[in-house]
Amino acid sequence: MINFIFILIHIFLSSAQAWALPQTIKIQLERHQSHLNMAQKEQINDFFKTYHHQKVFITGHSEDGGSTQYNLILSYQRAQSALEQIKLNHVPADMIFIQGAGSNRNQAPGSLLMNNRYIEINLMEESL
Amino acid sequence: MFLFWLLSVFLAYTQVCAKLLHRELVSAPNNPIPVCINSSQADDDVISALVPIIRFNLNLSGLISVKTNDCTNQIKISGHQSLLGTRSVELQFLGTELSKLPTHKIPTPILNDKHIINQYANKITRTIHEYLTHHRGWHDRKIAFISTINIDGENQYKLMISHIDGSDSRELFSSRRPLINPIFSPDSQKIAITELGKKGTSIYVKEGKHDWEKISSESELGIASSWSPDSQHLLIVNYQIHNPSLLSYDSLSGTIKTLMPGWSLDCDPVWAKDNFIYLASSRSGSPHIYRYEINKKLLERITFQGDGNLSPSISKDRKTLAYIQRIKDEYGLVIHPFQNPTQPKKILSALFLQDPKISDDGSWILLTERQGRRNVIGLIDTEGQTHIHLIAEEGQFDYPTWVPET
Repeated sequence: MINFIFILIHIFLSSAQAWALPQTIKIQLERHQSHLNMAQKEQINDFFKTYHHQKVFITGHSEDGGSTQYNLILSYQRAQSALEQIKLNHVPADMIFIQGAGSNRNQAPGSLLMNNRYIEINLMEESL
Repeated sequence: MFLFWLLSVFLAYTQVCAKLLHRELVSAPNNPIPVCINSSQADDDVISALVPIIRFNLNLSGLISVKTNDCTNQIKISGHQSLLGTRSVELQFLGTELSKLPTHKIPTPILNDKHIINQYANKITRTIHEYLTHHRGWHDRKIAFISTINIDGENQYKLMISHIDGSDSRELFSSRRPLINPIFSPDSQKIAITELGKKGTSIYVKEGKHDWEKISSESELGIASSWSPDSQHLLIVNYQIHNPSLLSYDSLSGTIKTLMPGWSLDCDPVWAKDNFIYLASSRSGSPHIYRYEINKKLLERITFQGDGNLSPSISKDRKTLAYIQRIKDEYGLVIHPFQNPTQPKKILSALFLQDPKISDDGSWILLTERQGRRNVIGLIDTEGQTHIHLIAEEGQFDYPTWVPET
């Protein structure tokens, strides 16, 4: 009986730990930057330390203006860089989905002061 | 006659009002040429319908100011009918500065359609504009662009074509997914557009009166960028691989081959005459403009200033290059004359400028600008003197491009 209670507590704590994970991180980048530096790679490694077999959605973002093509491709390259680093954390490739959003989801359209240079990584439970 | 006159004025009025876009003069030269327009035949239904539109158009051109009196320069507009019954409008230039200009006759089309009156007025405006300023006019040119309208929380994207004054607009393609980069072949027979999907992009091509053909699957990542000068090949940026490469799609055979292997981030390629491709590439760290000679496989860097140079557009004679330059938190529209390549000239600065398209003759540039929180079409001459906004009555416009004159 006591064993059973311990098992229940263990399952509860494990679940709580999984649910307590930060589900989203944003990695801020420099202008024109697509490859990740050491600190940004560490940020991803830390995020995946408690990875729990969730689906991983990576979206690259870029500022607007200049060239639509450049912004779109740069955002995709940013997502690809994150993908390569996530794979090193033993996340199965078939659980990762990437997208380049270009500047379409700019949080402050028309303002270059609020930069839109980042990668967003979202974890979602497989059932979702 | 009076009924005809009323009908013509009504048609002209509704044409001016019921347009897809309206034009706003943002800036103009300090010393526009003052002229008066005289139409002696007030009872002529054609002249009565045309003159208000011509007057409005000329004032909007920025280089000409139409006055009502005290003019040394006058343009007399009168209608003529030949013995065979064909009609024309005669432009007579009077005054000390203009009297050397020859009288000009423009044949009158059959004005049985309200669109025709506007087109005819635009054609006359362009003639007057070119006579007086010696600058190429844009008044009767056609443009294409993407219109985005939000309906019940969902964006509708439409590829539209219209005269530059917004008249005679037609929808060519529509989607619930974002559309980018409409491009016409130089012979104006083909048009390509890229649709952004959830998994990738789709490229569609339309030739003549045929239906749209999807030439790439949605899982691919490619952007239709430019047509070859002979209008046969479509240049596509393939960014599925880490370093985007430039592909050439043969519209006759349907085959695709690699034209330039990728390195870093290559984008915005424009296929110019003599097998040169102008593109932006970040192979030096930040993006700059390069020129690639296809036959020799030689790449030459053209720009060296600024934090980044993007979106090259080149005139048909390859004498003038326009591109967007970024310096700190501002974008600039730069004109780079090849006769004097050390003297690039910035003609416009703003927090948002995007995707310029220079006209074939190198005299005007269309680009996307921002007014408030929505995108509008900018039209500016390559001297940077006259600047006009073409603003949507509803929604916003992006990716303006010239429809080639045939």
